[in-house]
Amino acid sequence: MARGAWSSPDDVLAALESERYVADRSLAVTLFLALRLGKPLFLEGEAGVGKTEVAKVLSASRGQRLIRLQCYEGLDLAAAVYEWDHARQILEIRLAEAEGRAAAARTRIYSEEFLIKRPLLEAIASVDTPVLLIDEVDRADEEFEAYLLELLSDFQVSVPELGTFKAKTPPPVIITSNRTREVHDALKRRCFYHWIDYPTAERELAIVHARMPDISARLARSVVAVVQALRGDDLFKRPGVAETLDWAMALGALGAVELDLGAIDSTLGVLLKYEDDVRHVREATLPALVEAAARA
Amino acid sequence: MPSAKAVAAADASHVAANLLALPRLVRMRGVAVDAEQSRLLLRALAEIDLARQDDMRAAARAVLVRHPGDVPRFEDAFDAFIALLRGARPSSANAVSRHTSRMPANELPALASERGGGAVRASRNVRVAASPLEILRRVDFAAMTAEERAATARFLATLEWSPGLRRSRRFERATRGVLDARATLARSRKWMGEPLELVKRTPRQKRRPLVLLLDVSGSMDPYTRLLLQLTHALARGWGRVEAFTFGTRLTRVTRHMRHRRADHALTGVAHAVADWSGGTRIGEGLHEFNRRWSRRVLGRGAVVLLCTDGWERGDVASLAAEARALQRASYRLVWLNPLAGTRGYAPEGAGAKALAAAVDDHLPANTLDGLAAIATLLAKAGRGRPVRRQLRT
Repeated sequence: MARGAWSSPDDVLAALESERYVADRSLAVTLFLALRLGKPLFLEGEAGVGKTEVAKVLSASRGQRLIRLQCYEGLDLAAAVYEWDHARQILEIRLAEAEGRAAAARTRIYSEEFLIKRPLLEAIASVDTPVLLIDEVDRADEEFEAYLLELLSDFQVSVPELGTFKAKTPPPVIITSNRTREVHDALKRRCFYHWIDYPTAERELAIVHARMPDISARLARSVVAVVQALRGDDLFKRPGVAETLDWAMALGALGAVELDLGAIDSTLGVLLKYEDDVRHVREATLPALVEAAARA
Repeated sequence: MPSAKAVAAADASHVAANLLALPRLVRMRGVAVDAEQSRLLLRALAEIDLARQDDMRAAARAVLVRHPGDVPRFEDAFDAFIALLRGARPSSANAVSRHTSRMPANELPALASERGGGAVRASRNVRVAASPLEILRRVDFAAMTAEERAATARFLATLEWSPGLRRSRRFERATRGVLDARATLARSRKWMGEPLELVKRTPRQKRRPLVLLLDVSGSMDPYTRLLLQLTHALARGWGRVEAFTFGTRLTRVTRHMRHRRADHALTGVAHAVADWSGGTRIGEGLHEFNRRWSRRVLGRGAVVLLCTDGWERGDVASLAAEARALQRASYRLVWLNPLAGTRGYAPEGAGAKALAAAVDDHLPANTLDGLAAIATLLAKAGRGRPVRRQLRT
């Protein structure tokens, strides 16, 4: 399916839903606009609210390849854009020398054959217009952000020895950030921005059912009620949707039918990832959680 | 700035007039001082660097004191004289007065409101003559006049600060370092695949992020504005500086600090912060910071400057726990305490004790010299491993 094939946010919503991603309306609208106007989509939100999933679902629903660039501190051009395959170049030189055509090697070693395309160049040079996911851009250095600015405005990469690659149609780009640092405004300015919040109880229930069709309605309601209650608590790390799904799955694997004190207590580690939080919940809020589960 | 000498020459008569207050003050305390001594005093002071208060004190003592028993009275008179020069009213000349008035909400502690009587004007010329910055270096911010604070702020803006460097995960070419195999291979294409040139690389050095946590409660009023100005100077100078204020609640003011002009930045902060000059709950402020912000702004070896007097009105046990958590999450936790600079201060309040036990450094922040010492410490402490302590349970 080509870009712009979706004619309204409703189409986007339906497409996401068919991939079992329950989005809220504002995300669908933003995504629609980003695709329509050929601009990157900048997604921010707490860990585990489904930022990366948007890109995966987008690529799946459009039948496009997903190219993912995972950012980290120290990410450089050789790992993100392109690199010459030096070892093969040298082998080629040696071979050419042995065959007595060393002069020809001079130009040959700088052909596309010896170029290793990393995710960004790959996304631009591909003919099939893949979806480009730049994940956790906040982990990369500021220098890399500056490079992204250039790339995202022209969608072209120049390799000095070879020439310029330019995307025929700019690929859909999703950039995610966990806000471990503030990303520069200049980058955000070139993108559509969307903050993914924790879902409401209603939507979270829909997400649980969409992802786990076999779960009993009662257990699903209890799970969501407990997670929602936990998010209102004073925790260092509040559980995301990913944790909700993990927890529901864990309870399913244990054969739990309903949430009682024992079931919650023994599986708290799936939901909470900090010892302080687990202790706080055990000491202070566990009875309230059991009650919330029972009421749901 | 015109040199101190030039100014001194122009205002010589004023200098003389003001310096003659010293013999009078000494005389008022019951020490006999004659006209000859006064004349001698002026000549003696003409020979020394007036920017050095200790020199000036020694010279005056040498002229005015003739009996050992007069020394305490002279010292007292000299302290009063210095206080007078700094603009204190003659009546309360010995005490460092504290502002106790409450500021209205949304107003920065006003600069020009307090003081400004005849004593200030009379002493102005003396101070100009004696290289203002040199004198100001050791003056408590709380005892400064409006003009002095402005001068201090201008000086702060020129300070070169760095919270130290850390190794980046990126590399740069170097003559010494480890072999960069990739680059060596690339270079050897020139020599038909022979690695004739060995390329080396070494980690790049990067500035550490800096996080400032400023106490804006009532007891910090005399220092708040200057600390904010310092924050602005730091934030504008280079990238990653995060600033928060806390009194009864935590406010992030990083964005306001990005304004180029200090006045605009501080006005923005004044509007954003709702708990000026109120009570202090340091523990709660740190708790909120640890929960909501620490993961966001303490990455990559950040240095944290915690500016507070340690005057805690909330729960001290939770303050201790939060301060320890903050220390663990930061590369280095530095407590800037305006009270620490005052003579005879020891962290004896429960809150101050808890803080002192948790932080890596506890430094005075009430004078320019104090701030300069911090800059030195940071430059030194910025390398190497962070301070890690065993958990006491």
